Formats: sequence, structure tokens, C-alpha cells
Amino acid sequence: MESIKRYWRQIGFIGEEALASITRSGWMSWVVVMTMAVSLTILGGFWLLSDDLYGLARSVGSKVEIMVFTKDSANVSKMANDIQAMDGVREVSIIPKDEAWASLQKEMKGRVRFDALLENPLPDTVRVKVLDADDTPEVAAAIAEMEGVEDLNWGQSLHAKIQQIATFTRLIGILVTGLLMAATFAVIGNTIRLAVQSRRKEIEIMQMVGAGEAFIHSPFLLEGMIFGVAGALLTGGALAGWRTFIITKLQELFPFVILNSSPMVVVQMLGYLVAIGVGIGALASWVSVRRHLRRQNT
Amino acid sequence: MIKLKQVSKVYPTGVKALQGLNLEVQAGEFVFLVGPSGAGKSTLMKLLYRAEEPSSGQVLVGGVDITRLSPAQLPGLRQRIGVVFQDYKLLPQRTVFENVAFALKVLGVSRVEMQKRVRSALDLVGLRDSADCLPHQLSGGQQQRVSLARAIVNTPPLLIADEPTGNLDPETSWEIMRLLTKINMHGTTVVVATHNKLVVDNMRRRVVTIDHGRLVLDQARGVYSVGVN
Repeated sequence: MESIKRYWRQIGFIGEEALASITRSGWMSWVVVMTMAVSLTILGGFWLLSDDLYGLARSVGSKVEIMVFTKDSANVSKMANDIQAMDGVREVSIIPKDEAWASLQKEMKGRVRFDALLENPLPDTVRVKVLDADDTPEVAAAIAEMEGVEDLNWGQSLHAKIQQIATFTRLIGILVTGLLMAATFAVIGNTIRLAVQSRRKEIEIMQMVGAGEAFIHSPFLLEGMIFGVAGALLTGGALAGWRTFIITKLQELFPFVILNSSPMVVVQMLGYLVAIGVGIGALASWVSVRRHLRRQNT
Repeated sequence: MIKLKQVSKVYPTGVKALQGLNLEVQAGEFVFLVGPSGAGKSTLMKLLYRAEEPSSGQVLVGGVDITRLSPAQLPGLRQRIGVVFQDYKLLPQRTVFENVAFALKVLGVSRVEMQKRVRSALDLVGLRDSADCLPHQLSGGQQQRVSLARAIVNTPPLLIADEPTGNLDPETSWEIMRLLTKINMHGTTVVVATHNKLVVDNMRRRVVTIDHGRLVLDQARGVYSVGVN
């Protein structure tokens, strides 16, 4: 029982030390929090932008349909059922050749004389929409294997281009996000190292009076985590504004695409940023204190 | 309490601080460690609370070979040794009370217990009325007394003082020595490294003289003999 109490008192001490250090450092704490906020805003802003671009590319991609032209001998409704049963297929509809013929005649009225044709030259067509634009090539290939398929058309070149854009955006997004994280880590690490430097006397005395290494780390770790949370929360407002700006711009450019403009995206992003902030803060503190202790011991 | 067997310490720079040194200190003893600057006094002190590790030999404190302690066992050793330095090592932004309490807070001692022990440590060094002062408001001698209070607040069986009077005038030095004697009378083993000839000659305690990393003289009721013989 006593040992549990002792444990709690030590945790209390760690909390006290962390808070006392933050208030005592004054402007230094502000520098860390602001640096954290700026880094996380850039990080989150870029992340949101690349995410939205990716989403845009995909939603354009999902507009691509597969048009399956059937042979005259084919059992179209069975074929439609078979396609519907395939993985990744969202919607299947049949355009009977008479309907297609009628609409073609209507479209081309006056420009082409259809009288010369005795018979409807068009095949029955099955129109397929996929769930995920990425799957289009596979679905198309599978359909091509089916019996009764004369030919199919799914906008291969458009699809390839959109996929390229989406992949590129994602790649650049991951790359820049990674670089920004590393930069954030370096900046926070250095700032916290200054804080550790300014408290080397405390560390020395803690060691002298018999505090364990984990115990010495803890207040700094907690301090770093508090900086992380504070920094991330400060970025919230900025990101909400930035996100509205991106979405509005993208929507203006691509009015036919429906983008996910829900504020939940920002809330979710904020969750990630708090986690990243806390992680970076704690890790940077840990590395700084550890390096300090190692240097002292050698 | 302390046993050094054939202890040598060579720093990475090649400096031979200690060479094959043997020394034994019984529990409850009061020992002066004297010798010229660079003789190896500070190195010997640092070996005792393992701020340094010997290049060879054994260092036993309380019957335990402390050169074999794991990092996790180190805090346990340090909690049983009080250390006082020439430059006091007080935290400037904390009051006298907080400085002394720091050692207990680290160990998770309860508030009531802490109050009691800090008060009695401050009583012993005669600084009860200065509990709320900041270190810079005190004289050098008073600051060293705060550092002494911090070293003994956890009632360690061993107290190590490295040049505790190095920055103090003769009269204040006497005060500190009187306090160390008082602490010794409570049963704490005290080891003091010093240059202060006046103090050593008048105290008539055991004096261990070190020169060039070797033990050259060990007198039961000795005097400061560096440069004399």
C-alpha cells in the first residue's frame, strides 16, 4: 500500500516538475509551442491538400464506365447477372440494341441517312459501373473473358492518366509529409534540447540524490507531450480555414465532382496531428535527455 | 563501510589519476583526504558514488562491490550516500526548503514526512528561519549549509564532501566543519577531501594523504603534511 502511495506521489512530482518547468521557461515554452503549431499546420495543410487531390482524382476515375458490346448470340440478361455477381461491381444496366439504335438515330437526325440500313447494326450493350476506379482494369479484363462478349470499351487512356495523377499526388504527399515530419522533429528536438541544457543542474542533482533514469526522463517527456497537444490544438483553427479554401477552389475547378466537404475530415486530421505532436514531443524530449545523460556519463 | 582494493583509474586522456590504491574506512569514522591539486582526491570521491568507474580494482561501499552495479541499481547506491560539493549545486529558482525537499520528492516521501524531515535537517544546520529564502539571498556559508541539509535529509549512512570549504573564509569553514562533526556524531561516516590545512591540523582526525594517485600517508590523528615530508 505504502509503495503504491509512494508511486503516486512520484507521479505527482513528475507532473509538478513538468508544469513548473513550462511556466518557469516562459518565452521558451511559447517558442516550442509556436514552432510545433507552425510545423504541424504546414504538415496538416499539405496532408489535407494531397488527400483532397487524391480524392478528386479517384472520384473522377470512378466516373469511368465499362461498356460491354455483346455478340448477337449472347444471352444478355444472364451476362448482366454474371457481371453483377463479380467482385468490385457496383451497378450493371442493359441497353437493348433497339434503345441504343433509337437514341443514336435521334442524336444523328439530319446528319446521317438511316434509311439505307435495313437492319439495326448495334449490339446489345451492358453498362458496368465499378466500386473502386482502381479495379476497372481487372473487372474489364474479367468481363472480356466471358462468353458472348464482342468488344468492350472503358476509356483505357483516360483511366490510366487519372490513375497516374492520383498515384503521383499520393506519392508526393507521403514524401513531403515525411520530410515535414522529420523537419518538425528536428526543430522540436533542438528546442527541447535547449530546455534540457537550461536544466542540466536539476538533472545532475536528480542523479546525485538517487533518481532513476526513467524518473529523470519523465518530466521532460511529459513536457514534450504537453507541447505537442498545445501545438496541435493551435493548428486546428488554421487548418479548418485552409480546408474550406481548398475544397472551395477544387469545387470551382471541378463542379461536376462531388467532394467530401464534411468538417469531420478536419477533426480527424486534428486527431492525427495531436497524436503526431505528442509522439514527436515525447520522442524529441527522450532523445535530448538521453543524449545529455550519455554525454555526461562518458 | 568503504574498502578500495588495488584501485586504478586512467582517464581516456591518459592521465593516471589513481594507481593501485588501497583504503579502508570503518563505519562511523571521520576521514580527511588531503593532497595537492591533481593528486586524485576528487577522482577517489567520484568512485565512491560511482560518478566514475575504476579502470581496475574493486570499490566496496557497505560491503557491495559498486563497480558491478547495474544502471538500475545505481539510484539505490546514491540514495545511501549524501554528497556535498565546493560549489553547493543548489537550484537557484527554488527556496531553501524546496532545495532540501527535492531529494525527498524524488523518492516519493509523503508531504507530512517531508515537512518533518526537512525541518529537522534545517534545524541541524541552523537555517530554520531561512526556509523561504532563495539561495542568492544567502551567504556562501549558508548556501553550503543548505547543501549539507540536502545531503543528510535522507539520513544516509555515508556523507562525502569534496572541498566543502573551498569557497569559504576561515571562520565559515569552521562552522561547516563543526556541522560535519555533528553529523558524524549522529553515526554517519564522513569523508572530506580538503586543502584546508588550518582545519585539518586543528581537528586531529584520521588523515589520508594522496599524491600522484597513490596513498602516501595514513595517520590516525594526523595533520596536513603535504609538502612537509
